[in-house]
Amino acid sequence: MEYTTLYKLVGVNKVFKQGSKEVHALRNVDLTISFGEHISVQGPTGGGKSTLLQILGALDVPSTGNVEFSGRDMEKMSSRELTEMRAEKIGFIFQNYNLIPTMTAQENVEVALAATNVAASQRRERAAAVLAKVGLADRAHHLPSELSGGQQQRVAIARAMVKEPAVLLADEPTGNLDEETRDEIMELLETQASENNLTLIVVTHDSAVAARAKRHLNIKDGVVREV
Amino acid sequence: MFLTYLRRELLNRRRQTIIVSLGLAIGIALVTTVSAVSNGVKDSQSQVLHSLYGVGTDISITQQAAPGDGPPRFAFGNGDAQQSGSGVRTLNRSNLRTERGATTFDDATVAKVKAVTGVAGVATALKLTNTSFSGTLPDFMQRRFENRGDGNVNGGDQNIGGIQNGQNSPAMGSIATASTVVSPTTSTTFVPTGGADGKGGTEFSITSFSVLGISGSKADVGPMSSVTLTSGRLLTSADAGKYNVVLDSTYATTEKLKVSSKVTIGSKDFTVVGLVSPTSGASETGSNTYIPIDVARTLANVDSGVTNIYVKATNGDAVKSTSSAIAAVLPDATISTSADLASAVSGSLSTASDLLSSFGKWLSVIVLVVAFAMAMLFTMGGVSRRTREFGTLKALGWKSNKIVRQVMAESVVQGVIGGLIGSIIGFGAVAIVNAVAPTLQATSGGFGGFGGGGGGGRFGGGNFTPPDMPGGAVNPLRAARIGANTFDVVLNSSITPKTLMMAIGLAVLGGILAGAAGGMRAARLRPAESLRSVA
Ligand SMILES: Nc1ncnc2c1ncn2[C@@H]1O[C@H](COP(=O)(O)OP(=O)(O)OP(=O)(O)O)[C@@H](O)[C@H]1O
Ligand SMILES: [Mg+2]
Repeated sequence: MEYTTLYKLVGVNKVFKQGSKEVHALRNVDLTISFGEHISVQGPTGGGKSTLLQILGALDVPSTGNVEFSGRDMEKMSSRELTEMRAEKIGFIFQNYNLIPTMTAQENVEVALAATNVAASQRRERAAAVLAKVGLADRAHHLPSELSGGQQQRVAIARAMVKEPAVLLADEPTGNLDEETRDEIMELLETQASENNLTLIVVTHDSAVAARAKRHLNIKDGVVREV
Repeated sequence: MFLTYLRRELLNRRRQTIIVSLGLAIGIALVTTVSAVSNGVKDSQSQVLHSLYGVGTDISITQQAAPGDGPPRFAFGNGDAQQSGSGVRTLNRSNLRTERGATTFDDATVAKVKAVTGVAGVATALKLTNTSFSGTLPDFMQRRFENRGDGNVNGGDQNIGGIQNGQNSPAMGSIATASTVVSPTTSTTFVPTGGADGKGGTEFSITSFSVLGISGSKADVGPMSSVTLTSGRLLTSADAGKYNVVLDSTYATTEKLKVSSKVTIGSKDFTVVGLVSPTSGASETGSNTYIPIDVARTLANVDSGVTNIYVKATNGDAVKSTSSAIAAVLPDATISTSADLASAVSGSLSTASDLLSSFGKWLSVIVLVVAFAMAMLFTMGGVSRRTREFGTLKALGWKSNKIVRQVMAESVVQGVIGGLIGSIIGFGAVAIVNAVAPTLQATSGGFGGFGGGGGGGRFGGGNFTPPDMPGGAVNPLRAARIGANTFDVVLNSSITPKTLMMAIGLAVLGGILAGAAGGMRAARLRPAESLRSVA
């Protein structure tokens, strides 16, 4: 498979100011990520894993340094373009699933398409199709509170997948699941990623999850190392 | 998605929806009710004013007499009573006079008023009060040796104390209206054939009603501008010099009179030619009876002139300047504009009006402010609780505007629901107020009327003290109807479309304010931090 560059980070620093104290969450990160890679990110708590993921997901901007996405300098993108980028190219999966509690599974998936210019008539079909793919066709009209943790995470995966993004960013996607469900979810993520030629970046504390990736990163005190 | 999300949020966060809506509803209900009732009171006030002074009347002119002009007196001479031979004398007297304290304006004065700039039209009237005394008194000549009672008997040619005593009393506007039957408390030991009831004693009544002398023809100003003919006909210029009378229909009903009945005014028999009722919803017109002005003059023993001048101004804005211009021409006259008249109206009606315009208004403003503040705080609280939700939406690529619009829409719908519920509560409250149908009383002015207070009247053999009234004064509410004008108006409030629209508008405004507060908070959330806040 021919790899083209998806992300290129050069000298990225992220400093949080908390009153007089400064927290250096990322230090001089140089990183290149290609399309279709499966990467795990590990490291001690407070190391800067989530911070890296948020910068990759255009949810936050570096304090200094440069991030290119698909050859575009993110610093030069307007907030509108960044929003569009999140809507079209990036699929986020969270440890706490973060489903909208008042909406059904089906509607939670449609929410992702509501940010894109997919016609309203197609949203329902596409959402239903993706829910079927993650094995939740029969739970489509249930509220999150009526679903198990594993089922909720499947809905979150369906939501991240439905817009056919370029990259899936998962922050501890199996943190709240038992081992069996964890393996199911990871399997699902990996098949979806490989079927759609997705880049998969998974932050995890779990070495079993990390072991499934092809490339391993470790972040400690904001410093990124390849393992 | 917009509608789905909206529906889901409103239905699945029902408690939030109910709290915000209900908070607004209570504010709206209060505002609608207060505004409806105060409109009702305002209507009642204008009804009263219209009844009193005519729909088209902007300025009313009267003149007070110099002090010393007393209340009506009845002077019964020896020959007035009919000896019945059974120990009683029957007395009947009807007396027609200008209202106490009022003097007349002559034609030249009326012409002067007409000439004032800003005066569009003038109507005149002669306001009189008819007081009738009728009853029987014991024949004191015959009973002088028989009466063992505590009767304070002065003899045949007596003055009726209660009425006389009121002469110098500053308290105006009270004396019996309908028949005041005085039962004797005399302890008469024998003379079985003494009184009208065959037992000896005194029985008499004083009745009184207002008489308005008017020149024929219906005008767009003055007393006849605010009445509607209910039967018969109105007076025309052809009635001049004739003993024809038009009656207030309520008065006619109480007196059991109808068209072509005979009625005695000032000892003359009049023929009822028509009945009138107020154009507005007031229960009675400005006077009980309307007679041709020249007849009124003859009976009241005034050669010429009028007691009341009603002026219509060329335009509503000029009323004040016109009234000052008239005041310059007639320095001694009492000149009242409709605004003055409104403030001169007293009684429960004006109390209600004052209450609503001060307390009611402030109460609604405060409740509304509290309701708005509550809606805003709850909405902002709701947004805070949904920080992670909005962070997720931003991570999913939702524009801030889209999220703000969503929060805004939720609040506006809550506002509309609140407005509807509030209006329904308001309609209910107004319906209850109307079902209770409070009767408000308006007493206009202090002029007119005659005093009956002061000394306790001693009639014949009995010490006459009507119930509840110390010192022989008579129920002022009833009595005041003749002198000062008292009107009972049943309060009827309704929520007008305007009020309803204002209510819904306020509710939507409350929703928009709450939505703006919540939306601003939602827009400020930075996606990274909003996700972190719960993770
Ligand atoms: N908004 C912020 N304000 C201040 N400090 C922050 C902020 N976000 C992150 N930090 C700090 O930056 C450092 C890195 O945080 P980050 O969330 O990236 O860690 P992590 O590796 O994801 O940890 P964990 O495994 O516990 O999730 C931490 O010390 C954290 O306290
Ligand atoms: Mg983290």
